[in-house]
Amino acid sequence: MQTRELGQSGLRVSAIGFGCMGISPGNGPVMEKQAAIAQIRAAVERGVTMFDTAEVYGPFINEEIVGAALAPVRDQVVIATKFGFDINPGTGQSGGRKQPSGAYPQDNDGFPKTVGRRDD
Amino acid sequence: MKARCVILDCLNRNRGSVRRAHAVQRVAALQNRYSLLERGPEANGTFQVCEELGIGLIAYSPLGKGLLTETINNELDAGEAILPALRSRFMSDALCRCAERDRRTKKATQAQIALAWIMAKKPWIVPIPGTTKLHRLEENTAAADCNINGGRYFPHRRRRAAGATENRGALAAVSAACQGVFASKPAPENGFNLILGSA
Repeated sequence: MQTRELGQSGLRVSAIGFGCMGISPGNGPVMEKQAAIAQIRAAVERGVTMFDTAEVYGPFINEEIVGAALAPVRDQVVIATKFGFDINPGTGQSGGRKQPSGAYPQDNDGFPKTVGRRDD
Repeated sequence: MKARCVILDCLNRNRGSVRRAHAVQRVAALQNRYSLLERGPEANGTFQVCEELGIGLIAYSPLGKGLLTETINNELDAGEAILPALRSRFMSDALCRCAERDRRTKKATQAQIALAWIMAKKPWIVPIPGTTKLHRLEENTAAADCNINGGRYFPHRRRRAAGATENRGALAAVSAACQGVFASKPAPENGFNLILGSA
């Protein structure tokens, strides 16, 4: 797979990425979690290094699946996620973007907790 | 491992806010809907600000929610005749002819041409198609090797950009209709994602 630099950011990723939104419940057809993980890993095997997810997909479940699928190759891929949505924990509905800054659950490095991280 | 870059999801942002954000924290990329069906970023200042500030573009919905793939041809009943009407609304005849010629000469699929077209536009754009099917994943990733000559495609015309709001409304209506079609069938195979309104 060819790679591309996103602008002049120094962030080099596969020329074609993978949008993960559709692989979890809540966004169209339901995919079993293991099948979704297998699909993401199949993308890795074909050279994809750019994966897009969001806190609001699911909500949360998409980040968890993406994080689990990519844990073994975390240092070889780029994960893009999105935060700042006002998600009702009871209903899972998003009322728009109004979380104050800093409210996003993150670890000491500012990495989204839902995606998880590899300690290295 | 930690968060490395800031990417702005730009659906509701204007170019001024991109500049302001970039001044505070380097922005690696913007994320916009961009495809043969949605060419707003070429004319609304997004391309310009990306070029000027060295920012990349992540193109979501690069297959037009499946509307740029063969899948939807197969899924929609012929009687609905919605696809030709839709394409003619968003894409000029010249653009359609160009894409069809490339599809034949490159022996590529509609989806591959749609992705290759995006990559040919600028070297700093990365499309992110989604799919639940392995063979569609293979089809999509193979598009990386499907080089087409973007220069042969006619430039975006402002006239169409001016109708972008109307186009978005039409696209939403067609998407809703397609969901009805898909609801009673197996999972769509390629790129048919719902875009959350506030995302």
